[in-house]
Amino acid sequence: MGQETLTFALMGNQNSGKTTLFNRLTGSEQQVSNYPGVTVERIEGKLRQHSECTIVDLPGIYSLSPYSPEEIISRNFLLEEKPDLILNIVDATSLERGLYLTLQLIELDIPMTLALNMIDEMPALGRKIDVDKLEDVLGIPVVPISASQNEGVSEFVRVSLETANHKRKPKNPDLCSGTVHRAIHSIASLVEDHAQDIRVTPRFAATKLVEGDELFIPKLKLNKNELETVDHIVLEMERESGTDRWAALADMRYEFISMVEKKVLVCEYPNYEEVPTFSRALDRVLLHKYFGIPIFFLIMGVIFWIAFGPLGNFLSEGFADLIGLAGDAVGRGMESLGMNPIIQSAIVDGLFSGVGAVVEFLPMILVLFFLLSILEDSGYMARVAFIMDRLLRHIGLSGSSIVPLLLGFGCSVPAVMATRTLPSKRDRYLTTLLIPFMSCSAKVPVYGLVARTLFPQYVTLVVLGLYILGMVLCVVTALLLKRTVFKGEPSPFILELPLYRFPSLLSLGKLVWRHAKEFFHRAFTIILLVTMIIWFLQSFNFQFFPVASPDESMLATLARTISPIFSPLGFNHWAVTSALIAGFTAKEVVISALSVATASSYPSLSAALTQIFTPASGLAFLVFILLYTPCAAAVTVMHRELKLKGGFALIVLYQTTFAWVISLLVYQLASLIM
Amino acid sequence: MRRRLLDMGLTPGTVVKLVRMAPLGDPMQLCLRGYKLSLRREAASDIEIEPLDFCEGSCTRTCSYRTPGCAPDDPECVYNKTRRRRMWRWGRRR
Repeated sequence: MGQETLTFALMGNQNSGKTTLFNRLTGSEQQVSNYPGVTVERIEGKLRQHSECTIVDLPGIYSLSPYSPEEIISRNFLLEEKPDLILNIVDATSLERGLYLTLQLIELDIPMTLALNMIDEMPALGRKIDVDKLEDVLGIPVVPISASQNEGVSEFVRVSLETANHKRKPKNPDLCSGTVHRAIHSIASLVEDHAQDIRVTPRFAATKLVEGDELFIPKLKLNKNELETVDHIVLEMERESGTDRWAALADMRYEFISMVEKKVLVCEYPNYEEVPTFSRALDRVLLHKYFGIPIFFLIMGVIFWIAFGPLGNFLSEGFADLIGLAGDAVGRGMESLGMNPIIQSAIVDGLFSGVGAVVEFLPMILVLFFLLSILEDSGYMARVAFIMDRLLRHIGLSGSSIVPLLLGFGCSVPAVMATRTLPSKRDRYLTTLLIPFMSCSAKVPVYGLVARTLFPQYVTLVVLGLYILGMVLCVVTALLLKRTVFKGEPSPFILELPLYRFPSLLSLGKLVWRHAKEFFHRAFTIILLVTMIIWFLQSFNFQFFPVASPDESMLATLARTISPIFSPLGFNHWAVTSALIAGFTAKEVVISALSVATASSYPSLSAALTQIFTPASGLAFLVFILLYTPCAAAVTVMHRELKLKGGFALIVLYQTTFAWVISLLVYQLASLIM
Repeated sequence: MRRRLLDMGLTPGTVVKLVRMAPLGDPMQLCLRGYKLSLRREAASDIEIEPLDFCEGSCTRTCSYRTPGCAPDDPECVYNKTRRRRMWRWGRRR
């Protein structure tokens, strides 16, 4: 084994299982799901037991002529950083399309191994692949694997390391034949020097020249004369093959692939459509002409009902009782030890009732995440994009936008990141701006607590109502933006529909565990910190003496200067104002801050809420929480993705103003009715 | 867009099957080269197609229907055993 460091690049189509393999190879736990294009950034990791090997997981691509930003990342990595080995992953169930990329990668003349992933699904489809023959034709090592079942992975590692250490390049990088091929050859000999200058193979440079790749050609620094000659050769080729250059190139590759496929693929069923698969049967129901859309809404309804209805409530209440018991025990313990009452108050009021009020909603949030991940992992998300495309087009979005929007129910940060998979800038901007309307899970504690206290009869109804209001306003905003800022058509919709797969319980379990860990981490860092600051501000006055009543504290004084803004909305209590401001750091903080700020003047948080809010102003408060500025983390990510000057302040101001107006309407209407 | 479709395997002469339309009549789900792709009407309408006689194609082009060498009324042909469905050969763009 060489001690020098090696870099392996994972390349393959979208949804071919690169990240699943990456996790297997490196032992990390990157997010995977059964939807094309989950990985949007390059991620690095060390190969297990071979720490000299760095593995880079790259976004999935279909070809080396890139269209969207995450595809450009993949290509630039190959061209500029020159990995020692390409680990090419091909989904064995769609061999032809996978090999299309393989052929282009072979042109680069970098050592390469091919993993035929999802080989375990082939018997069910009645297909078999002759691996030895495939190896023979392509001239690179081929290993059948199943990344999800962890089969063949160690063999793949062994073969890959060997290939990399011996710097074994593809045996015959010069595949294909015909008119196009001749053209490529003449161009290749013409630009040989230029290609070597930037360290790419002449063959690759020639292909890019034939394609007319705007990003790559300037790098070659050809002079005018050479460019003209190239152009001439290409025109000649177009004339001869009777089609344009792109079609000719794609045709040449697919022609070759069909030839390969005929050699290596054995079909048990002559007719693909006859194969009795579970996927097809499921599609017949879920994509049904009339029932498809109702089924989708039903599924979403059931998810929210499970998370916020009886099950979620039951779990959360049980959890809350536990925290309450622990808090009481600690409080009594400290009293018996005769500790300083200020410290006692900090621990009992700050930690237990503040942070505890948030933590008790953890079960609800986990149930929601669990159910949403089942949707993602099973392959249903891509179907949702398919059935919703037409509806979303009315509001200026494309079907693909539904995925970031649905992820927004979990957390806005990954949702905004997911917008990178959208093909056009316009769609990415519009979708990003709409994500805040999807109630994120951090707002669940606020909804849950306020609804439970003020509307005990109608908790599920109120919470669902808020979700629906968010979606309705999302549609309204989208329509407005479409008419004004984002004129033009949504981008074309080309999406692969993956096969359905049973989500593995293990990976779902891991995911839930990760969310739980993340939640606790937040609870005991940012939420605890802000809660403690609030506790401090409400316990002392400006002279840093403990106050008798929090009404005289620093917090109350400061918050009162802003409170009048909220008078028209019906909640101008200083505690509410300070909670809303603190909520900018993280939405759960609203609850812990409210709880801390009211702890000494009211017997319990629910008593405080019933005193501070009327039903009408409570409703207005919930609506305000739903709509006002996304938390700092979300705004930062949005700002980064939008790359708008002053975007940060703009998002905060816009959302807050919008929330204020809508809450005002809700309060005035509700006051009339109630 | 056009190049994207080419990369996805929609090259001239590819055998394509229309599996279904989405619930609201758009987009459509196609089957080609052994996988499923969804595409809007709008994009598809720019592509010339040619209805295919049902016994063309081959086993490895996994969406097609042929039993090699069968006649249109051959009872052994898989296609003739099943409901007749729409199949197209993808042509060049108008």
